[in-house]
Amino acid sequence: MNKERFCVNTKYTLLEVMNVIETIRERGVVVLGDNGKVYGVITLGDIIQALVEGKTVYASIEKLTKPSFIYLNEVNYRKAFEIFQQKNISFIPVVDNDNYLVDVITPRDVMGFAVFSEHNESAD
Amino acid sequence: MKKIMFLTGSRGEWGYIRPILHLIEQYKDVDYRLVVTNMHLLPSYGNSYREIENDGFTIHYKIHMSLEGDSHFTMTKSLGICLSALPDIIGNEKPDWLVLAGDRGEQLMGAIAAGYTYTPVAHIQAGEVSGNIDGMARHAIGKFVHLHFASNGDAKDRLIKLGEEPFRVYNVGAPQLDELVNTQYTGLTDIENKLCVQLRNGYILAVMHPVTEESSHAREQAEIFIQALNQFDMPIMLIMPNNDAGSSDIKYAINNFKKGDYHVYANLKREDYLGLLKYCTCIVGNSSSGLLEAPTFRIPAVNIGRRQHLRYRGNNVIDVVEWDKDKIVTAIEKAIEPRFKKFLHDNIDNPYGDGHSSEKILKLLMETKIDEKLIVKHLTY
Repeated sequence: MNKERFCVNTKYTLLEVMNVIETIRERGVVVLGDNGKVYGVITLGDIIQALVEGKTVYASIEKLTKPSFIYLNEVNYRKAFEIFQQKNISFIPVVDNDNYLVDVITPRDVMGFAVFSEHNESAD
Repeated sequence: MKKIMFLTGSRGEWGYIRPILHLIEQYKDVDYRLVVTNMHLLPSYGNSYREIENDGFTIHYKIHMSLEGDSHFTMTKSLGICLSALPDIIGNEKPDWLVLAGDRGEQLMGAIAAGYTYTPVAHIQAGEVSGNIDGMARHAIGKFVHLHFASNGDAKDRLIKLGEEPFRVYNVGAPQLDELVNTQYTGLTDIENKLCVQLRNGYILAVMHPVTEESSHAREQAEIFIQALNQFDMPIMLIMPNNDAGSSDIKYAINNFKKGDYHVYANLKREDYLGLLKYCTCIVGNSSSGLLEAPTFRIPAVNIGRRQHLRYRGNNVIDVVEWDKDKIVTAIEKAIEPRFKKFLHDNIDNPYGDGHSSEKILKLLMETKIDEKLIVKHLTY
């Protein structure tokens, strides 16, 4: 499960988010509101853009968070694989019907699933 | 060589202006200047100035005007910032015309700046009635401008009744329809691929902006709006509100009360938005596009509250006066009935014109004689 690694709060600063991104070695994170619901995503690209436009590293990410992002309603690695093939994105949040984060799928998860499936098929 | 300056602060106005700019590019005896401000320059609204640049147009001036705070006071002070920048730009460029569009506060600032500098100024979508402070801004703009481009006969008549000299008033239709008629919208398959959403089984397009006079009720209204949308088992393609007072309360309600298959966008390319409108099952909310653009695509529009109060409308519009969840649900149920769709297919004309407005507007800008009769205004009443 990637869920915990990928979460930040709307009250985080750019600096705090950069630290999280650096720690988890990904290109973005999922932003949650105080009630734990998904607010949007913020990527390294968004942070760079904000800094270029004159924001300081201590600026809140709340207004920089993108509400539009590609997500899945359930953990579905095949669907995630198709999306990774089509889109230049590095993670896909899985969001339930009530707008809570269920998990985050990365290309590594999809590769792991593919290897596991292949192994199981060979065993059959 | 004529020089025509345009001012735009939102994606809505850009829809009015873009077809005219495309037309200008085809002529050698006219050039444009583009002044971009307000929401176009805000990261939280998608930095839509980039869309303008990606369309191949040059932005000559950017006015950063928006103060944070989301209140009537910050909104008003932001307009002051816009106004303080405009006379220098106008003085520097000395355009033959400043062209304004719609009813937003920054357009009113353009009208004041041009009016007081005696710069010829024209107004697209003039004379209509709408139920927000924007509606008042539209008529205040009308008092300053020298040429009115009304989008329907009702608006033209109103301008004349309000004391404007008839020689200044033309019914040219709404130029944002030009792109619809010329099929400048994204196809359904392309939208699905771009947004990674399955839409061909139907979806609701939802757009709610704050009503500035009711901004203290925005959170409550937005919660009702979202709770009503939650009742429908189909994708909801939801566009985030503009940055008027009350917008953060609407965002709060969206983030906290949505349940189901929502896809939220702060800003979409105009052709993608038009594609979403073209193929949706219905549009719900209080956006003018339910009244202006949806009829061209024969799309039902559930229009809630007073934001579009008294605005001229076609028979695609189902009005819900109160922010009442059950009434909104009932109206949406009516809108998505095949029977209503069939009725619209057989019975609708867009009251805002035939999609050939840009040519008429540009012709008038090129041919109208700029003299004392034009510049010195007299009210007939």
